[in-house]
Amino acid sequence: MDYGRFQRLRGPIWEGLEARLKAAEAAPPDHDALEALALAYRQVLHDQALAQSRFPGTAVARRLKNLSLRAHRWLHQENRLTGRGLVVRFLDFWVRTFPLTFRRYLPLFGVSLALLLGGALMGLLMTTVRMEVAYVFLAPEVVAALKEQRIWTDTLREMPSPVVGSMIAANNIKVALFGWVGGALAGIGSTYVLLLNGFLLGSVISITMRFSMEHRLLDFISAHGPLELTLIVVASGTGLAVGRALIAAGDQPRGEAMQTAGWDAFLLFLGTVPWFLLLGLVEAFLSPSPDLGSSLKVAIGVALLTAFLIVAWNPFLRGRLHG
Amino acid sequence: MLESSDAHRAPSEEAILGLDNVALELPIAHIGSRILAAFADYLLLFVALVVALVIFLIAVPRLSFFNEDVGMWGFALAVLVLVTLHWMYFIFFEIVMDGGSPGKRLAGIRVVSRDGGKVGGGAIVLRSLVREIDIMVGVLFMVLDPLARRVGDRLGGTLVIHDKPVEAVALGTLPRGWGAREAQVVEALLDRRDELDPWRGQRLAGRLVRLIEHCDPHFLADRTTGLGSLAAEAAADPMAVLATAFRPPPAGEG
Repeated sequence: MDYGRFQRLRGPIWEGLEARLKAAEAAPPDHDALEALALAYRQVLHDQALAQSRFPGTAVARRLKNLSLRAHRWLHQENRLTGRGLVVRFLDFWVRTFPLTFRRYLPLFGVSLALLLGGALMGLLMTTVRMEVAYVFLAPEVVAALKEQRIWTDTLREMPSPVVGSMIAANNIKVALFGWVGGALAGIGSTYVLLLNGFLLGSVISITMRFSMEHRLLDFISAHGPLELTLIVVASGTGLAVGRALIAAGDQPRGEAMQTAGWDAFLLFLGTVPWFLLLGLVEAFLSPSPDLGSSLKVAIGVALLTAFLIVAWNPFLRGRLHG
Repeated sequence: MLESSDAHRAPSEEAILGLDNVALELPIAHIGSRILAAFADYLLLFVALVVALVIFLIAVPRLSFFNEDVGMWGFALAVLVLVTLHWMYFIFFEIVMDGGSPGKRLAGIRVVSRDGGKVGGGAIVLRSLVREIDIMVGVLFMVLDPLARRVGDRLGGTLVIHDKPVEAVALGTLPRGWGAREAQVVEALLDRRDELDPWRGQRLAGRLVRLIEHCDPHFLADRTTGLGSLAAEAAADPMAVLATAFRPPPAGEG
């Protein structure tokens, strides 16, 4: 078949597919229109294969390739969720998807926790031996204030709570995000976040103990601290999963292993975001409040952590552990 | 006459399989067009952030004038809006514009799934969340990968492809003995005739007219009856002779 005859004979089919695609992109087609579109796509796909083989690089070959790709993209799409489907998907995420993914990565959360505690121990010991280590994180004025029995968390009371809340929530999400995406750097970023936050915690505990201010610190962090540290452990644990996929992909191609781990990590990250927002509010409104007693703050901290673990583990779910 | 040497090559890594296992090569967008798109998008995002910031800088002090608490909530809202604008720009546009964004449209590229399908919302969010990492290492990843995937593309299972409508006019018929390569040359010349220097364009057209007369002496005469004397016309305006001789066929004509 020559070039001109090919266009004359098959041109109407190509134009038909173009028209059907245009209509389908404007409004969802009915069953008959969808079948006609699929048939035209099949014909055009074969024509483009012929054109690539017989007339490569010509305008017809390029037009057919473009048209085939357009039709392929339109026909290969996820179902768009609307209304009830969206609600079902949302509930399914919290009831099944998030807990199953959380359970699957539990061993890595253990590694993550060990790194955090290791960093904390290191910070505690080093700052106990040499107080100057604390100057790496705390300004000299802050340490001087500690000597005068004033703690830096008091400044949060002087700032308006909405401002503090939004700043803390944004910062928490940033830390978690860095812990998570740090996994893409072969897990180095996640490890850094865990060790740094652990070291910071240990160092701060040590310096407050030196000036007998630890009760003030614990009073401040008891409402939000347990959950915040847990979320950092989870987010960084998912980052470690991505890093592991990059380094030890097993029998999968590295790209595919990373994609699977990345998707799971993303699901876990999504599951932690609302908790980070909640923590921003707790840290801004409840933690600095002098009106709440220490025992109430501890109760809030324990309740928040328990609520998160129940949602994340979902003890009512009797499903596949590795699904 | 001439067949392209790559006419029968095996499907490459860029190829996907359509119905009946027919290979369909994806036109992967490489680093040049992607950097152009990113530059345009970040420029637009920067302008949007500056506009939002100016609006808040004007509005928040006025709110504080009436009530300090309202002003503080306004400030918190401003932080939220600016952070959201920064994070949601790409997610919003890639969902609404079906894998596109203003910058991508400018560069004629689009995000698709690994199998060439429409990209899902989850994959779009995923590839956008690691954008900060990709600003640091994405270029290296794209250069090393034949599919030019950055970290976000690998995590989200996406590819970026060229997606420009083909506007070139196809030749209606070919002289005897001509193949795809000659067709490409004439199509490219007719397609770009308005951009070319007229003298250079006519010179190229003249050479092609002489080549056609050599291969298929009756071809031009049969298809340029409306132009009067072919020899005179070919000498005066060979581009017009080519355009007339190769005009597209009426649809459905066998």
